[in-house]
Amino acid sequence: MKCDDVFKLISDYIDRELKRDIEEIIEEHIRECERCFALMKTLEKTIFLSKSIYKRRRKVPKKVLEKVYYEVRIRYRK
Amino acid sequence: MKEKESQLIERAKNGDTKAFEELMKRHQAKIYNLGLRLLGNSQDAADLLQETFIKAYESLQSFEGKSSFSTWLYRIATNFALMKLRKEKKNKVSLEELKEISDTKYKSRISDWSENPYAHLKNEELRELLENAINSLPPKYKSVFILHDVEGLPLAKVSEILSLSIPAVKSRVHRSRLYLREKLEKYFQNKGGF
Repeated sequence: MKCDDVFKLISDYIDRELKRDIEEIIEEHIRECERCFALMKTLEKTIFLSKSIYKRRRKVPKKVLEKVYYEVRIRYRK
Repeated sequence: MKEKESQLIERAKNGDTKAFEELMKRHQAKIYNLGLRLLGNSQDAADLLQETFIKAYESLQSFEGKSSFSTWLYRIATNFALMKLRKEKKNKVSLEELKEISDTKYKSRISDWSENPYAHLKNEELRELLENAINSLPPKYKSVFILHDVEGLPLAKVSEILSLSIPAVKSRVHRSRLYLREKLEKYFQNKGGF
């Protein structure tokens, strides 16, 4: 497998979307290739950081809920 | 004991508004937070929540249960967000640039900055840069990236929500990741050293 192939398949590899034998070929390549190893590590870190930005889940403010329920209830009468 | 969702849907379809409100209660936090992630501010997230539930109430009879109720709500919410995002005048990265990053030959230098001491979100500069980069993704890429990589939904579910083929979802996820990775790489290059 060449670096270009790893580059194309790396997201599928991270998502565990590949067959086991293809995964093994990629793993073998990554062990030997510093550049592809760096690509994988930095992509994983990019995903991790992006997820972390939005990690905190917020409660819906009471005022927002009141308005939403009010607006939906108006539709009950229609 | 919590009533089954399918029973609530049936009751709501038969005009039981209490059942519909129980459905809203179960999903409101998830939809509101999706709105915050896709649209970036609490006012738009509130509008998204409201419009999603109004639309869901009005088209409840057309819900056939082919997908889960949650997927159906996500679809309504994401469509609303996409409409809103498309109207935004903010600068977006071009589709050509995104394609170029994934189609051009693998560039020779890739640096491993994953263990860099500045590669964490307490670094405000980095956080801002990444947030801006995510917001600069074209709507159809941003929605896929948020649903899959941030919300953690499986590819098949994202494809169902956005009515896209799985290969199309995969390609957008891949290009978004490569684009964001490159933005971070440039940041670390400018910082000097890895």
